[in-house]
Amino acid sequence: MKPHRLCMTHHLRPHKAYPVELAQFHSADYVEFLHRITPDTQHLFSNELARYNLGEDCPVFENLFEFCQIYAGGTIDAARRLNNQLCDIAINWAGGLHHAKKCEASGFCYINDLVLGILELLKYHARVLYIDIDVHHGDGVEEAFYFTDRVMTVSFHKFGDMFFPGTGDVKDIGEREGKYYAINVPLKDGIDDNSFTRLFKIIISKVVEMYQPGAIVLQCGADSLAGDRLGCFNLSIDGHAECVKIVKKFNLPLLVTGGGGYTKENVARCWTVETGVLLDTELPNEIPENEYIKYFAPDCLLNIPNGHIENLNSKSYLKTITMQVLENLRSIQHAPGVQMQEVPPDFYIPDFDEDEQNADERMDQHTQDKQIQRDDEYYDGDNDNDHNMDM
Amino acid sequence: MGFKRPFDDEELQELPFKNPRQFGYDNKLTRFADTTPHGNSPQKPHISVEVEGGFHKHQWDEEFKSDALNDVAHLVDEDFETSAPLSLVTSTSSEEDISTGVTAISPVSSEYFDFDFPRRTFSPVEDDYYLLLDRSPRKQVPLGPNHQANVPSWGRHIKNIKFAQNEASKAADIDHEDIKMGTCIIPLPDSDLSANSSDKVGAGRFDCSCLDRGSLRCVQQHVTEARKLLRKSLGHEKFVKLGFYNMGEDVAYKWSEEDEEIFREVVYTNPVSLGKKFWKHLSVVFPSRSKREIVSYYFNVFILQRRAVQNRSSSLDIDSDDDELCGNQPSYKVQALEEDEDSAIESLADLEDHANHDDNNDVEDDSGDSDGDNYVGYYSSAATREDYGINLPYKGPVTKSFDESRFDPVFQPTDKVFGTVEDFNVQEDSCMSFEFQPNMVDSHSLVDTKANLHAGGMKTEISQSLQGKLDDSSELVSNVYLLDNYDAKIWDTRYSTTSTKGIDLQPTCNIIEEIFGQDNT
Repeated sequence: MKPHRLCMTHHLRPHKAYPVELAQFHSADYVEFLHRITPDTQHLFSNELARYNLGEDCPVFENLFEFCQIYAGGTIDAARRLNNQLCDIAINWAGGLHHAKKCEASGFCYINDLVLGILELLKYHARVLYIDIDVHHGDGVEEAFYFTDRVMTVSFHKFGDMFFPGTGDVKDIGEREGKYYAINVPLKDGIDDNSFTRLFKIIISKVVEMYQPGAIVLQCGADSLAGDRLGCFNLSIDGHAECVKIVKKFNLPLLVTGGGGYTKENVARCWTVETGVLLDTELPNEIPENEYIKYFAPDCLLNIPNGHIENLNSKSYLKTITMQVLENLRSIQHAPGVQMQEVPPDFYIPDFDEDEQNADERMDQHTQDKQIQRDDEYYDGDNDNDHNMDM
Repeated sequence: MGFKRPFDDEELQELPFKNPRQFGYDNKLTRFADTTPHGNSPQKPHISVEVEGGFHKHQWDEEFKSDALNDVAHLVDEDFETSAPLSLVTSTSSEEDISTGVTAISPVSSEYFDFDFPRRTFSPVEDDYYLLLDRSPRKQVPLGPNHQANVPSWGRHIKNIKFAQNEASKAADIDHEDIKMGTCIIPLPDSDLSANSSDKVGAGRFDCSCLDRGSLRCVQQHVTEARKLLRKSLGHEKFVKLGFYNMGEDVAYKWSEEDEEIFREVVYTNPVSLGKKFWKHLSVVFPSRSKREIVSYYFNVFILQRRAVQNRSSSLDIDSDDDELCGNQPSYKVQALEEDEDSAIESLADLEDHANHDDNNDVEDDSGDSDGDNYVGYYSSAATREDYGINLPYKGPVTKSFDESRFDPVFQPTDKVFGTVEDFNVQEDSCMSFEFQPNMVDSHSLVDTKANLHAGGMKTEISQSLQGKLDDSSELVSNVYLLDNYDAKIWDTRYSTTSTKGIDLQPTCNIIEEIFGQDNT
């Protein structure tokens, strides 16, 4: 019923999130404080600043609240559009602030738009999968959904060396009903494209197969790129974008957000390429003339040079991590009716040395299994991969 | 070869158990300076006992199945590629271990050597384990109401993982208040509490405590109450939006008696069967009325009057598809007045004047609101309409003297084929949905009306039939009553002029198309 959809579209323009929407996750007093505080008055509220972890890592700046409303509203609207099937993929590069906690800010994140978006998706989907490829652990999102099995959080991140935020051990798997519904893939410095994408593919394929989410939220933090000021991985843009491609292939409603990234020209490059990936569009390597072209000098290309850093992630280490993750995944109740092929252990865990053929084949099979058409009366069959982008 | 950490007895003794929370984690800004590829923070030289002993084993038992361990062992033969010095501080134990870790030193250390692995190959394996263990103490995930989000349960199926195909249907299940499914305008009636179970449709109200139960007044009262309740629960705005002020009685209120007569005349003198288009004429005759109003009146009042008449007919030959059946029905009320000698009619006459007076008043009220978009303003005075409605039952007393026997010959049978009442309504609904709210006509009640026709007193039947149908358009009632009361000849006369047989039946859809094909407003 298109008119209905159009009406919905009319109302689903990105809007500044209302405080009450922010309070769907965050505590009311925290939202209230964010609303009230300004750079000029913050000196009067030192107690509260400390309580809410503002002022240092998360400075108070002019129009802070409006900033939060805008990026959070973007993610919430993206989720709503997906819920109403107005699009298959919704993107909010301004979002992805995954460190924010219920009652405090953290790591430059004030409002956790991802949690809010996921809560919105949970109104229409029984299970939502959250994937985080930011170099930092997606602690805010994991913590928010640590007790529930309705959200599976998967985070690939640098862990150890007192690296922020300090959580994200492979042993953190959730609690109570949420046990086994949190996955952490802790990594060492310098992981490269091949290792990362292989790991990603294996784990995410298995997760989607076992968990059967209704929707996926992908945080594409670009600080996992080589040369990031705060990150320590060695991924190229193509490697990073490969992960996006892998997730897109599942053909599930997909909400893509930005995230960290502290070398801004690389961030811009990365998300540009990934926008192209999501739109199935190949972009030329040359960056066209724009206001900020000087940041991309001297080459003005989309490619970024590889970092010359050592990959501290040994094959065995990665294998062990993979095994542990897959082991935990076994504990998830299988979706009924799913044809699970009980594979003996040696085949169950593909050798890292093998090529990607097997994984590909399996995934195609899974992907086909997951071509789930939504039996919705408003579904008028125009699902020809019209990807609408939302900011 | 990979780095091998000497396995020192000394280190076993140390208990560097630290509360992970005591570690200050550098914020991201300071990491700026630290992020060299080998960005190794100062190494922690000691090994926590948990690593060596109970924690380690516990950890493995917890996280690894034995086959996994064997697999790891099989991987031992690979070269390790690490070159950086590794600190061997493990993360501290999980919450469960905190209390046990410290005490489990000595017993544990012996267990440690009971591992599957022979001591000799321990070192490489040990390195492997250490590779897994991060260098920083493990920070725990904060738990509690101040940390976790409030995730509503997914209906009754929180534990069952279902296919996504089911999710769409589940989304429609809004029985549970704790599922936020968006803005709910009208909650589904709880099936347990349903007072309108389908098998009781048409039986009418049987649970009211009115003395004159089933009377027109009673019906009107209950319908009014129901409307008020509905309006209260929906809120005025939604009530308006749903078109409640556009249906039934309220529509009739906007038309004076004279207008109604004229309307009737125009319709019947321009029958479609003769190729005429009465809609055009109606627009001409009522220039102040919008097309919308005219059509609304036609369907909400005019046709329903016809329905009511036909429904009360005991004849089996009535053809509801014949729109021209009830030919000229000019103010038979007036005629009835003249002809009936019933005492009630005198009172009727008195009240009629009163009504006409009221009519005029209300017509004046209406004139400013003939614009369909002005409904809100109009409806604010709608309350008075209901008052007006209550006054109308003065026509009601007429029914008390109704002689059922007079009813039968009233209706002239026609030989038209009857469409089912449901079809009629469906057509109406489908045609009207884009502009008007669907008729309140309840097909069930209409059907049942016929069946109940002879069941009891006419008054009761009509009351019952009216309940689900119109919003107690008492004008309709009055018309019917009067019709029924009075000389059948009048009726026959009207019938004979217009009952034609074998004409093309126009579904109302076509009529709508006709209207709106002509009219671009």
